[in-house]
Formats: sequence, structure tokens, C-alpha cells
Amino acid sequence: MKTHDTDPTHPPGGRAIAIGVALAILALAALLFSQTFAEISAFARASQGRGPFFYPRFILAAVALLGLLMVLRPVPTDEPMPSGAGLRRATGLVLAVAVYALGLSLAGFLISSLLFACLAPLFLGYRRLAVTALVAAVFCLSVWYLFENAFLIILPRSPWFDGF
Amino acid sequence: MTFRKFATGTFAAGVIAAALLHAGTAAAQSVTIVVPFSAGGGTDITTRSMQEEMANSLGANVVVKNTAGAGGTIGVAEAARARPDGRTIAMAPVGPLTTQTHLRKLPYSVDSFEYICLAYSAPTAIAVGKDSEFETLEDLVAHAKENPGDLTFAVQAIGSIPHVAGLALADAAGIEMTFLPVDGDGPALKALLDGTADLFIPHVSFLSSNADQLRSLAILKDGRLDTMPDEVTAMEQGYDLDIPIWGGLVAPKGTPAEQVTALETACEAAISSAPFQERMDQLQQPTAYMNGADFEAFVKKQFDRNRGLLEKAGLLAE
Amino acid sequence: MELILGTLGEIATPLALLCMVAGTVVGVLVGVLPGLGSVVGLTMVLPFTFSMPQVPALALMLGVYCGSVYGGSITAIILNTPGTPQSAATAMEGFPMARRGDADIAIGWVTAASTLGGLFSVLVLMLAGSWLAAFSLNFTPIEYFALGVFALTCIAGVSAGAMVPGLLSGACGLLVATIGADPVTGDLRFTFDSFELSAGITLIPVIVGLFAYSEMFLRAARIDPSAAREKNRVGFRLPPLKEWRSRLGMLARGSVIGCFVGALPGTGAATAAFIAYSEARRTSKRRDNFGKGEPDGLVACESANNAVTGSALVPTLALGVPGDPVTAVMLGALIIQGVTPGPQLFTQNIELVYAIFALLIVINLIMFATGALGAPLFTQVLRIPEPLLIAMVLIVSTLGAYGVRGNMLDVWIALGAGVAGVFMRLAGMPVAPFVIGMVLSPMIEQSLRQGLVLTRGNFLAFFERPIALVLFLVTAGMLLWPLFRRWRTRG
Repeated sequence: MKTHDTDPTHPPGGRAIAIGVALAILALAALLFSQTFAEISAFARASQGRGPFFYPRFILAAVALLGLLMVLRPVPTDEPMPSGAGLRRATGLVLAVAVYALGLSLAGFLISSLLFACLAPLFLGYRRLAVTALVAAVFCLSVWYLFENAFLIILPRSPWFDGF
Repeated sequence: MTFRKFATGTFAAGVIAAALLHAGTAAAQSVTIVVPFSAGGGTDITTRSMQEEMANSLGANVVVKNTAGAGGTIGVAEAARARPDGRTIAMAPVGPLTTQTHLRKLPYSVDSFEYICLAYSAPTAIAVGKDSEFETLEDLVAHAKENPGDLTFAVQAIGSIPHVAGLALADAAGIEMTFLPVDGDGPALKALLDGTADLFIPHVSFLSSNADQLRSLAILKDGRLDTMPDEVTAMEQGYDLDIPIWGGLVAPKGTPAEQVTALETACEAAISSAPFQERMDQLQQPTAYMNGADFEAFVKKQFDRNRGLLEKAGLLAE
Repeated sequence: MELILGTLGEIATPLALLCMVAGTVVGVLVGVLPGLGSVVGLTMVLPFTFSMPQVPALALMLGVYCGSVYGGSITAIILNTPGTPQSAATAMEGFPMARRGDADIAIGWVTAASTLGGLFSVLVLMLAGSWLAAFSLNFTPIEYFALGVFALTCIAGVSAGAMVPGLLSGACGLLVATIGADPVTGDLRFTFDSFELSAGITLIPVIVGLFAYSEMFLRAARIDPSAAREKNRVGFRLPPLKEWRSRLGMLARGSVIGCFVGALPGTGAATAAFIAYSEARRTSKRRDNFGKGEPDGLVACESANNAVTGSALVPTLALGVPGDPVTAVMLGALIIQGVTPGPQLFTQNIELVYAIFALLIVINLIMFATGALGAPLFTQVLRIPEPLLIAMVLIVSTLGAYGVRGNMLDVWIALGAGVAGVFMRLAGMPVAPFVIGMVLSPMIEQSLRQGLVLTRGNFLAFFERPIALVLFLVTAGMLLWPLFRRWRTRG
């Protein structure tokens, strides 16, 4: 049985990332911990079930302990590290989705999705423009139709057209 | 890509485009009613029961959208901040309009809306389990006076009307109860059945749809209810408690008057329609209607009264 | 039995059959789409049920319900993107199978296990419905707390091999779920004065981000335009019988876990699937294959989450207490249909109860057919060129995150979770424990604090309740078991 889990061309790395992630979680936990001293309501003070920060503090303690353990002994991962072109593609795609999300609020679903569906494959190295355009059009229109008319979920609209 | 695939694709695109042209015109005139609670609850069912008749009267699609969260304030805030073009309105219930507004800072107030109509209003009732030892409100109060804090009162949501009603009961009877926050009517019923809680305050239609397992000790209304003429009120037992649960349609402030009037007409048509009345009858839910102006005055009166109740209980945000 | 056969005749009207088929197909479809789940499907068909007679209305709703729980698994297998929270556990074994080219068999396992689990739960509902309802009343907040703590051991169960990162991931999930309004006092916590955050961070956008987004981002990094496309079999293939024989135990155990967890209001199919999965991982003879595409795991979690469908109806019908938002919608529709839930339903309205049994049996069979016929179509997705597929999945996932509450904030939360998911995977932190943590956290916190209200602040009183005590002891046993095993193999 062959698996693609471990790719020999990408050595398992990620020690630095593991420590970085653990440190980021610790920083976040510290930030949230500082928030647990916020003022609580009169009702919370009167309640038998302890205040709103009673439970989160236990969890924060667990997060802090496990985060420290992870910083001290990061486990190697078999997920291949993206590098070079791969890293650029992944980062670019994250930004593209952010722009797309912004586009949803500003230009509505149909326009921004059509643009995203045409440009994202191009960016990822797919060069058959006619296929992309056709797939994008059919896909976006059918998804839009399905949501608006079957699921009755009204999607964001552009300020320029009536209806989409 | 083969030609056949290309042809199929193009054909599909053509069909969809045609469907879109058709659907686009309908969707363009749709009105979205934001229901600030999750689907399947009383507010949601009432709104969905009005949907079809309202659509007929408006000549437009009516879409119900559930935006639950934070005691209903998220959905009501969404409507308050929507474009005031009459296309986004909300079914605003009593809690988010007149109690939550006193409990914390919200991005809206009672003045953020154009009031369209009151769509439902029904009293609440003090309910205990069918096999509870308490037969009357007096039994309950007597027990609570002997054992302060022993009675456990299940609260569907902090700052909700049932919570306010419970506080008002404790205040009027001079008793102490332990408040157990649960997560809605269903879990409150569960708490009664498994013996965790002794009483809670549901809407009367919840009471009748669970008639096999619940008993009402007192209806919180100024007179007997037509749908349940045998059930005694709190007033008859000497406690001045009249606490309804209601809700109505509101549009964001600045919605043109003609749109508001059209919606008001549609709302009245829906509520007086036979299918709506029939469904409410099935749910044993008393129906109610008020026009926009009356509704606005009513909301402001309730707003002041609930402020008083919350203040007495020490729950007001400073 | 005769009564049921009689009822089968009664439900075999054209309208009821149409409703069952349509409901199941719609359910599978909303289940497949990431983000949309059972609740969206049910609210979509709710208005249709208003004007229908009881049996067809029930057929439609039950079809959507069962179909949606099953449908989520297909996306979990094909794209490593669970379509619904219920199938998050399925992705852990299903996706590795698809990656090595066995998507058709993985769907075969899942479809068969789902159907059998669903049928098993109907059997339980028939034989022990009222008993289960009475049993669930033994669970007060204190028992729920003990159950929640027990379920937390799943985090350790699915993190084998990466214990510290797995536990950290789970703890982060527990923490993220506390953002928003405190379930007991309503106080706002960790919202940084953002009104939108006062409703908290909901599960669906986080799942969309952690699974769908991060999977697509990592795929984008790995695209190799020069490489030949991997050969993936498409279609539907049932695993051979001899493969089944050794897995019947898994199937039975998964179904029992699903029935038990489902009968407790407020727990749900996602919890059941995770408990069954980690139980399978603990006890299976093939436990070393877990995480690499072991059918044992698929059978366990799929039979469990589908067994929940039948048993979740127990508290809904027999007590009038819906266990989750899904059954709440169904209960709302039933009340409109004039049904009064409660223990009397099982004595006075027995025809309706039998109709539900019969409907569930037929719907589970329809579900099997839908899966078998639909799989060839769904697996075609694997042949779409990678860049196009990534763009399409990202669009649908974004809509899924948006559609739950119709809220742009959820899209941003999903994107944040997606980036976090990429880093977590690169750091060797499994993402599934995060989901378990988020699912369990509200239940654990609320029951703990309700329990403290009830015992007037005395935590020791939690150990005086027999069921809770047993659960606490089992939890302790589960945690100590690996240590014991290691000690024994060493000695």
C-alpha cells in the first residue's frame, strides 16, 4: 500500500514553526488572561455558579501548561514544508481569499465570485483561459441560483445592479 | 476538452442564464424578515406563518432569515443597521427591544426603528411539572417562605422576559428563589422533568403544546384567557403580574413612509388571513395585532416598565 | 411487527414516497456543501410541510435530517472538508483513503455503515424508546458535566502520536468557545468591545476554516503542474463481505454509542462520532493503521453519527425536549402538525410513532441508494484540474461560512481559522481536537456551573451521584490505561 503522506523530496521540518505556533498561542492566552480581570455584572456577582471567568481560567491554565510543553519538546511533523514557489502560491491564495471576502461586501457575490473563479486558477498556474471562464460562469451562476432560490439564503449584493 | 463537453457546458450555461433572468426579477423585489432566534421556535414559526400572505399582499418574495445569538440582539441590530429601503425588516421580540437594551450597551435603541405592526402577543404562565407538589401559587409561595432559596427557577435566558417575570414574582411575593440559567424552553422543560428545577415561566402556547407534562399555577395576565378559560390568573391569587411575550415587525429608521405603510397593510392582511388564524389556533396561541403607531407607543411603555422591573432586581447596567 | 408492516403500507402513498426521496436528496446535497447542514436543509423544507398531512411532512423532514448527516461525510472523504460538524471525525480516515486512490471504497464503507447505523437506531427506538427517554431523565447537569469530561478523553484518543500538540489543539478549542456571552450570567467575555463577537465564535465557520480553507491553501502550495495527475478511481464500490466480518464489532459499538449519546438532549452527532472514533482507535486490532485510512475508524464514526438520527428523536418526541437545533426545527414542525410531544405520544398516538419507525427504515434505504447512485458523480470532483477545484471549493466554503448566519464576520473568522489551520498542520498540531474542544466546551461549562448552582457551590457533591461517579471513574481509567499498557509491555 503506498501512501503520499511522507514526500521524500520535502524533509520533515517544522520545528521552528511548531515553536512559533506554541509561542503565539501562549501570547494569545496571556492576552485573554489579562481580560479575565474585567469587571463583572451585578448578576454575575450574585450568582452561585461562580463568575464568567471561573471556567475560562481553568482552560487558560491548561493552554499555558501545554503550550510550554510544546515549546520545550516540539514534535516533528510529516506535513511537507511549503517553500519557494509553493509558499508564494499559498500566501497569494490567502490574500486572494481576503480580497474576495472584501469584494463580497463591496461588489456583491456574483461579480466578486466570477472574478475570483477566473483569476485564482490563473494564479495557480492553470492556463486554459476558455475552460476557466466557462467553468467560472456556469459554477458561479448555478451556486448563486441554488442559494438564492432553493436555500433562500440571500447573498450579498452589489450597489450597482438590481438583484445581484 | 472535447467538443461534446464544451457543448454541454454552453447549453447548461444558457439554461441557467434563462432561469436567472426569471429569478433575478423576483429576487430583486424580495423582502427579508430577520428573525433574531433560531428556526423552529415560537417567533420563527409565527413569522413563517405570515410569510406567504405577506408575499401575496406585497407582490414580492418574502424570505425569513434566522440570525440568532446574544439573546436576539444580533439579529435586531442587523435590521437596525440595514439599508432603509424596506427590503430588510425584523421580527423584533420583546426581549431584544425592551429588556436587553437596559442590560448592556447595544448598537441600537428603541428609537432606531420605524414600527410596522405588532404581530403577536400572548401572556406567560408560571408552570410546574404535572406531578409537582404545588397545586396553587399559594402553595409555592408558602413553601418558598419556609425554605428561602430552596425553590429552583429555570431561566431560559438571562435578561429575557421569563427572567424578568420570575424576578417580579419573587419581588411581589417577597420570596427568594435560586435562578438556574438553562438554554431555552426545551432545556427548561427538561430541568422540570428531571427534577433539577421546580418551576419556570413559559409562553402559554408552549404550555398547551406540552399539556401532558406541565401544569399552570397562574397565567400572568389581567384577565382569563379565551383559549384556556379554566386557568386562574396571578391577579386572582393576589399578585399583580401581567407579563406578555410579544413581537412585531420593525424597519430601520429612515425607511420611506410608503414602504412602511405597504408593509403594515401586508402585516395586517397576513394576521387576519384564515390560514394564519388556523395555524395559531392549532398552536393555541392567542393572536394580536396593532398598527405601527399603536405598536410604537406600546413598545415605549413596555420599555419603561421593564426598566423599572430590572432596576428593582439590581440588573441594570450602570 | 405486524403493526409496522401495516404502517409500511400506509406510508407507501405516492406523496409520502416522493417526500422521502426528495427530502433525502436535498439532505445529502446540503450535507455535501461545506457549512450548510441539517438546519439549513430543514428550514428550507419547513414551509412546505405546513400545508401537508402528517406523514408526508414527517417523511420530508426525516429525509432531510438523515440525508444531511450522511452527506457531510462525502466531502470529508473527497476533499478533507467535512460538510457538517457531524462528519469531522470521518475526514481523519476517509481522506487518507481517498488520497491513496480508494475514494470509491471509502464512500462504500461510509454509505453502508451509515445505513446500518441508522437502521440499528430505528430498532433501538422501537424496542427501547420509552426506556431511553426515562433513562435520559437521570442526566441532570452534574451527569452532563461528567459525560463532558469523559468525552474530553477523545482529544487524547485522536491525538495518539502527537499527544502534546493534540491536547493543546483541544484546549484551544475549549478556549475559543468561551468567547462571547457567558452561558450562565450573560456577561460578555473576551469580546474586546466588539458587538458582533457578543454572539460568540460559532462552530461552522471555524470548521470551514480549519478544514476547507487550510486544505486548499496547502494544496495550492503543493500543486505541481508538470506531474501527471494522480489516478483516482471514481464510482462506488462496496467493500467485500470478508472485510466486513471483522468489523461487525466496530459497527455494533458505534451504533450503541450513537444511540446512547443521541438520546441525551444537548449532546449531538458530532460528539457521538468522536467518542466512537476514539473508542475504535483505542480498542481496534488495527489501531496502528489509524490516521492512514483505516476502515475501522470510518465504520465506527459513521455508524455512530447516523445512529444519533433515530435516537435523538427519543427525547424530542417522548419528552418534548429537542436535543439540538436540528430536532428543535423538527419539533416545531410537528407541533404545527398537531402533535403533542410527551410520554403519552407512545401510548395514545402509537400509529404516528410507528409511521416514524417505518419512514426511518425506508429513508435509510433510500439514503443508501442515493449514496450509491450519487457517488460516481461526487467522485468526479477528483478529476477536476486542481487549480479549478481549489477556486470552486473556496467559493462554496466561503458561502457556507457566510450562509449560517448571513454574516460577513463569519467569513473573516473562517479565513482566520484557515490561516491558523495551515500553521497548526505545519506545526504538527492535529485540527480535529480543536473541533472536539469547541463542541464540548459549552456543554462542560454550562453543566459545571449549573451543577454548582444546584449544589450551592459544593463541587464534592458531584461525586455523590452514582452515574456521575461511574463516568468519572471510567474517565480516570481511560487516562491511566495507556500507562498501564506501557508498563505491562515493558515488564
